[in-house]
Amino acid sequence: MRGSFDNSLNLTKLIIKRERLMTPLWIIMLVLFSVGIAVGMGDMFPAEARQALAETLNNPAMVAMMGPIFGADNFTIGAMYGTLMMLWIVMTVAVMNIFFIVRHTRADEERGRVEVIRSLPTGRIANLNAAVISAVAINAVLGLLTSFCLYIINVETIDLAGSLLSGAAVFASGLLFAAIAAVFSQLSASSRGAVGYSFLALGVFYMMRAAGDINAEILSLLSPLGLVQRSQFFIENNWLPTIVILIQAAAVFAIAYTLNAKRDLGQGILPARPGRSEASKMMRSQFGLSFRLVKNTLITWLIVMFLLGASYGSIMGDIDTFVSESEFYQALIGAVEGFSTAEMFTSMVNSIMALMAMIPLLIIALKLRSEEKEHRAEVVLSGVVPRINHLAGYAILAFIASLLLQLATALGLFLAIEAVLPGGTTLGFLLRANLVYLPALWVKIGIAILLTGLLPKITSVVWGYFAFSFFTVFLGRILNLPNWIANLSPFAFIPELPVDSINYAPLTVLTVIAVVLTAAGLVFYRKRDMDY
Amino acid sequence: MTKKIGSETVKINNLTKRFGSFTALNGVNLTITEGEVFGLIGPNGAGKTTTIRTLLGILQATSGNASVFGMDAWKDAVEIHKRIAYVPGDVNLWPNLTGGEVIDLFLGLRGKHEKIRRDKLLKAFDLDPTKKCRTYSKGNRQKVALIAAFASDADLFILDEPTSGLDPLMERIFQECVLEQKNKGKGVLLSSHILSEVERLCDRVGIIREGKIVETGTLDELRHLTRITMSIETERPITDIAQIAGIHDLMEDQGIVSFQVDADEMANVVSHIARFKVKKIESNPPKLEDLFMRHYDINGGA
Ligand SMILES: Nc1ncnc2c1ncn2[C@@H]1O[C@H](COP(=O)(O)OP(=O)(O)O)[C@@H](O)[C@H]1O
Ligand SMILES: [Mg+2]
Repeated sequence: MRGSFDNSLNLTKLIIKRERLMTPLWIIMLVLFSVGIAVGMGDMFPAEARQALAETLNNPAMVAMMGPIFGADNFTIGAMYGTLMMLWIVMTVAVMNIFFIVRHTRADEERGRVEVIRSLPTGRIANLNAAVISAVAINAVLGLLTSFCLYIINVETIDLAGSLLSGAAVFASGLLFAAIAAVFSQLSASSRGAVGYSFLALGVFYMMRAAGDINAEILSLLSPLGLVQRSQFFIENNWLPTIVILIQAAAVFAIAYTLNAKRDLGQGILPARPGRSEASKMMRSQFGLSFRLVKNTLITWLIVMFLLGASYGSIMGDIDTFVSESEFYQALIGAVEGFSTAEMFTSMVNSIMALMAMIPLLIIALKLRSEEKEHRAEVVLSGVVPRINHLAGYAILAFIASLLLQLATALGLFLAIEAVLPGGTTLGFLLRANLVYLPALWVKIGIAILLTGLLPKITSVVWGYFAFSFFTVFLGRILNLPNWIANLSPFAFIPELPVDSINYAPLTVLTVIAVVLTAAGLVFYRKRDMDY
Repeated sequence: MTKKIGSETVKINNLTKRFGSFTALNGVNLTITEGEVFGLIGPNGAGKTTTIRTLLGILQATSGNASVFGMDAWKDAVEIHKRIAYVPGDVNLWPNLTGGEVIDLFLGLRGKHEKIRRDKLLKAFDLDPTKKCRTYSKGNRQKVALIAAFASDADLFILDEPTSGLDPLMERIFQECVLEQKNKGKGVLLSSHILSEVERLCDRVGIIREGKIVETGTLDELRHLTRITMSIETERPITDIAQIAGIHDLMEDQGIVSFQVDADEMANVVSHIARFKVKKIESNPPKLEDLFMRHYDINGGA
């Protein structure tokens, strides 16, 4: 077909114009995050501590989570950075690319913005091509900045060769996930579907490498996440993974282009199933509609939490063997008398799972805001239901969801632990250990509701706060953050059972804070104008 | 207005389009000649938009074919698009660009920037180009697309219910724009269900229903297919009128006879009633509306 790419450059200019704020922000945050951690590691870990950490991390559970510990016999700062951080940096870059590509291809198409563009003398693939050109440019900037900044922080073992490879790996894997998102944008007729499938792919790649890193190397090589880790940044500096990933990206892009050239505008390749012609009884109420809108998210995440809980539970058997062999691990985790190792490990898992639960909870709590931005809330608000009920409905849904999600985790953990270590724990304990996180989750929901009511333009700030909590809880375990930083997150006040015992005072305070935030959000919401 | 018989700008041949198992277009045939304003009318879901999107090459025909300027609508889309301008019924724009930026983008993608026409049209349509698209109403978004279309020097304008969000004043401006293009000899394909608009603007009309063109022709030709309503008062009572072919819905009330008559039986009827000394005669020519209703009335129509 002639002229399939016509006007790609003009459309690229359009994308860059539209992205003038969002993408620079992403890039700056990403570079600050990845380079900041490199600086922090250098300051916080003297050589012996690093060496100890390397040995500590070298157990199946941590390997499943973080990847294989390369360079453990001489765990330099560079080796530690490459081993522990590159996976997470690549995954964050993947997320950026998925959102970017879907935003400029399927989402625009779904919203009918591509229709006039396509009626002009622009090629059939031009819109996708423009998004891809922009993605190449963005990932190149990101990669170069990463290389440059890593090099200039002047940490001895973070050398030029490794910095260059790190930047190149970021560039290549960013593009691969852009390509994957581009394919799913052709397959699925909705942007939600395209983002969902892309994240599913990311999740599957993570699980593949987790399984692969424990006992089936081939799975890790098939997963780009596992592959990229085998670059052995700042140790071997192997360029092969980056080259392979670039080739994969090119191949996947080619698939996306081919699919795009063949299909109708607005259509996906996977069939969309027809909806129901009449609203079910539930849908006819305000709350019912809200429920319907978040139902799929909630169900998906309940399954995810259950499975994640179960997969953590299932490695409990290995934990015991490992702990009996490693003094370091005994020192770190088995120090409290009277508790089984499995219970100790569980307490760490619980905090990570509570953080995971925040993702669907924030999606639900911010649902009204996203509906409002799409102008859909207007129709509902023009009905007879008082406005405040609308937001209150989502708040209630989020509170109920928090309970369900924590129950799903506890149940998944319990069933898996029962399978590998019969009698190793009790359901009652796991329930208490997980439900005790609820007040912290509620505070975050409260913040989301408050922002929806008071500062709707910046509701996404709550995601930043979530990322911060994630950082303090998850990395804090490895990096030993100062207390005052950790205490900025509500999770710091949650007792980790069974090491800590339940103290109701901070839990009550958190609950009260959550209620006040939510109530304030509702009151402000009633007073404010619609805002897009 | 008499038209030179030009070449065919649009030719649709037995076009069928399925979405999965649903048949949206079922053997559409349609020809539009150069310099003609063609009205495509039909109720919601009849297949107007699907026909147009296939013509634009953004949907691929399941079978049959569509060509514009003698080129294949799917394969030569880009070439064709250099000479056509399209306004969709539902215009969606980028919330963080201004109306002016979007118009310039659309014109820029054509490669020609007609600044003078653009500014004239902005004024005529009374659109503030400095506002972000997120603040525009449906009508304003439609104006953006209309301005970008009419500021171009396209040879064929494809307009899909372009006035559904405009107020009557703006609708007038729109009609003037169409007439201006028509006078320049440009072709227009206008899909609409506002019949007065179609009556005012179009040389020929096609009626589409459930994915099939059920009628095409000039307005005059179509009127022949429909019935004229007459009411007559005569000095002597009319007899035998019910026997004349083509008379329907005959009624009599205080000496006034009213009925509908098939357009092509008119001559017979007139010569028959002349014998009874006509005092008063009223006849209402068929409106497109009646024609439309005849095809769509769920109760079976007239
Ligand atoms: N992408 C699609 N998938 C399934 N059905 C469609 C799609 N687009 C249109 N249709 C169906 O095709 C029929 C014709 O639609 P359309 O051409 O939009 O009608 P009109 O423009 O005359 O109102 C409708 O029944 C519509 O529901
Ligand atoms: Mg339509």
